[in-house]
Amino acid sequence: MRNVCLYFNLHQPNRLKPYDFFQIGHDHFYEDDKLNKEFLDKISNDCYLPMNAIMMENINKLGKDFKFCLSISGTLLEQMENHRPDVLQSFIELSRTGQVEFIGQTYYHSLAYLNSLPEFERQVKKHNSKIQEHFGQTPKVFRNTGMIYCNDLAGRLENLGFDGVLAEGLPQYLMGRSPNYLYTAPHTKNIKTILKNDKLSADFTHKFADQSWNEYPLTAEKYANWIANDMGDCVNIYMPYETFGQHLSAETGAFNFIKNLPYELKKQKVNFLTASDQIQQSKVKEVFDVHLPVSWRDTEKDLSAWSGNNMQKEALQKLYSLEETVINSKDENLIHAWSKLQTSDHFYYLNTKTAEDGKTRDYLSPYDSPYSGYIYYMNALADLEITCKEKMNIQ
Amino acid sequence: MKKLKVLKLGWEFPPLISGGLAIACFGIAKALAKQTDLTIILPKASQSSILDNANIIGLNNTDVKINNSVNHSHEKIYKKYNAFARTLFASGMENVSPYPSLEKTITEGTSSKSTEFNTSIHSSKFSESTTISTFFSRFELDEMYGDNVQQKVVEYAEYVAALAANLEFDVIHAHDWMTMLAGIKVKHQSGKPLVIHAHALSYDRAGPDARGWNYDLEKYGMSIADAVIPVSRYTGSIVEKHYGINPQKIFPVHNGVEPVKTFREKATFPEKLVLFLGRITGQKGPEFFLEVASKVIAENDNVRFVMAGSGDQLKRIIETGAYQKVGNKFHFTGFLNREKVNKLLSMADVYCMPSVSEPFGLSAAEAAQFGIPCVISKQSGAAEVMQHALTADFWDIELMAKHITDLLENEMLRKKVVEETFEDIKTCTWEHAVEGIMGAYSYALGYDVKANPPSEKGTSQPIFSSSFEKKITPNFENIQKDDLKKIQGIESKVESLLNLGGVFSYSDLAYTKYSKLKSVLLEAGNNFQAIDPSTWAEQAELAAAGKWKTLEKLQKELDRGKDD
Repeated sequence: MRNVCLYFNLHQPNRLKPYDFFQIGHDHFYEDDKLNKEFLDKISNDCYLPMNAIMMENINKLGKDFKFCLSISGTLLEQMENHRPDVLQSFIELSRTGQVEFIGQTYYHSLAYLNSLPEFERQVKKHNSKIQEHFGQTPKVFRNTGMIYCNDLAGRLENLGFDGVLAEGLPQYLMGRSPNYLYTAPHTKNIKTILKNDKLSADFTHKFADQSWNEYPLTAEKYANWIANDMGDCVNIYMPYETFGQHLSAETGAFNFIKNLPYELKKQKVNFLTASDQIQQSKVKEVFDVHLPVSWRDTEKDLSAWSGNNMQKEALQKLYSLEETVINSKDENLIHAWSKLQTSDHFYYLNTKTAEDGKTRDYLSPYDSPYSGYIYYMNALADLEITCKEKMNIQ
Repeated sequence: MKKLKVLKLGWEFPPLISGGLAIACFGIAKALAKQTDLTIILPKASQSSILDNANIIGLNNTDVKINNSVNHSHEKIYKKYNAFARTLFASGMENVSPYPSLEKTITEGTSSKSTEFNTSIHSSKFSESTTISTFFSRFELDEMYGDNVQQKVVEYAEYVAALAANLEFDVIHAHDWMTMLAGIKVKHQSGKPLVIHAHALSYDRAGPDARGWNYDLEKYGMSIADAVIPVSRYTGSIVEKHYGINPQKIFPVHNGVEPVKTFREKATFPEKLVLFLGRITGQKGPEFFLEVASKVIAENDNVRFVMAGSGDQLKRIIETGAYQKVGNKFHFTGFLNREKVNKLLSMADVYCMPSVSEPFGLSAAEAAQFGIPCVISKQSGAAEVMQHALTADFWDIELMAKHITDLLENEMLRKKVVEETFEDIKTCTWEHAVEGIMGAYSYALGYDVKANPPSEKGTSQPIFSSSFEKKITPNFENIQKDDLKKIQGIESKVESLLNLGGVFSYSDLAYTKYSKLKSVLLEAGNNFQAIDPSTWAEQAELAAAGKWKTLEKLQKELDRGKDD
């Protein structure tokens, strides 16, 4: 049987403004609202709207035969609610076709799983209700920030009622096995682990525009052929939605590629599945055993992109040290402000890696250096800390 | 009365650049212009002069007739600027000698566009066969410092020398290493005395092990200078001990501190604020500030530390701060404009200057004017001026942290330090500084220095090497001084000789070796050579112990011996 699952993740952070020392104590809004709106407008025009149109067209033409998964962060949904309800509406329309499965994640696209389990649970639930609110479904499959995954995560998600969890199909844990099967984590009962096919996913995301690649140009036909001929139950192709129009500009032909891909896959007699479809249809093959957290980020595919250096560790430690005070305050605004500072991008910008990973960071970061990013972040956090102290004094 | 004609050689000068050196040079020039006939040559000056009564020449807008006949081969230039140096001028001399492009231009007869130093040579005047003896040129300088600053220094010297050939002056006054070479050249050319003002040395910028062309130039310049004016006794001690300069010609003069407009503003956060302000480089001791901060923060939750400024150590300090887990209480501002600096000063509760080596430290004096109590390193000129500020060695984290904690917690102490330090710096005026500078001029010109009596607070007396350590201790005035004339064989002239040698009390004398005493006397000249100090130690011991009767008995015996 030949199956494919297309999964796209979508997220935008609330980037901080250059929050300087002189703002501490009286400026309690840390985000660069204007910049964030600019980013949202640009990505909406370059990616979200044209992609939604293409996906809608594919659904209209292929009907029940075409389906895919989306995971949208709470921060992005809020940005759309506030600035681009039209874009949000186009996602809602996609969802109404019944051909889109929404995948759960932490509401704030955070690293809460690694830093505070109660906070992690709170955000998972918050994201579930947000998805329910807009798209009328509650996620049954979960995808953690940065595809951070380990056995313990699968167990905890099972307790939270999830049927499946997405993970990176890292070769050192596959140990020669194919990622195109359902796996399970040790000591779990029902939850399935669905692995990304890293090779085929990267062939598109990283090599599509590479003219020095011997397979260049990669046509939808060629790609469909590769998928059709890969062994196993289901090939999972995961990528950021923003790959289209942002990482791969329209000029590269990425939109045409995704427009044609479903037809080429059909020609090859490949079926489209969602994550939940896989869980229902396929049998678990073997145990995928990952003791310590891994991710899909950077060369190391570990946690170093977010917490590899002292600045990141300090920022995370100081942020989560405020948890108790913030949550106990029961002040929704304060909780929300603190939560938004948890978005993983804030910590990713502070990594000091060099070479290719450093270039990727510089491309994504709104700051001129990780050091500036750290200064702004810690200043903002200092202000939040002062607010917390005032709350405590009042109580 | 005929005014002294002073040729001042400067590098930074307002309004084009306003670092510490520029502020000092301007302050000196302004006060000096009132008493002397002052000409200032700068590499770059704005068209609109900001000093009315001085003649300011900017090489960037003056055509200079350069005598080009003598030393134009690479070897000669090479020799000339390395004669004094242990370190070669720069590696790859062929490429960086001051005139390579010039020669190229001349021999090839091509346009001057390619000239590396933008000397704007009017190449059309030359042809391949022309033997050039002179040419007109204008000195151009894009940035005051930068990768090729050493070449600029050499070039500046050439231009200044050419220009000075047609100027009339009595004394040359050069500021820091950038203008030293020019000063040396003009001294050789004119035979006029050279006075070097030391604002900051390689020692300060790069540490005691700093060597290289700049250090060599400083050492050479100060050794042939007729007088050296360090901006503090602290820097004077470096000039003497680190550069081996004859202490007799060292005249420390403290900078003036201009009164600044101050105001107080309440911080927008509840915590107290401790401030570090300056370039974030090794010289300023930022890592010591961080250590102090970690220590204070660990015990006091109600304080924030701010490191304002930028520099090559910034990233390292940011990461170390994160490592020390003080990220939420230790803040960085990056480079700040004047307005923001004043805002910070208006909010600060304690100012900390833990410099590893600070010739003066104007920022501390400014902070004091803002009513901020200061904790400053002993390795600074400011510690001499601000005698009531709290001081500690730059490495003494414990003491500095204690000082800061005390100032944060003890309101009485804070008030006392603020008020008394404020009084301390009132005496620091540029007029006062110029008195000292005039003293150094007089010495350089060969006059009796006492003709220009140094005022009591002034520091324009030469420091004598043997008594140097004593002189720099603040308690010098209070030192115990005994009447050494009570010792048989010591009369008042001998007493002052001994004082200069660091011998003030009976016990000092009792512990001074015969050979040392004898050498002091021998050095003092013919009148003293015959004096025999062999019994002084014995006499002094009795005097120190208060055994006056025994001493009297001894002296009688000695008298008798003489009679025999």
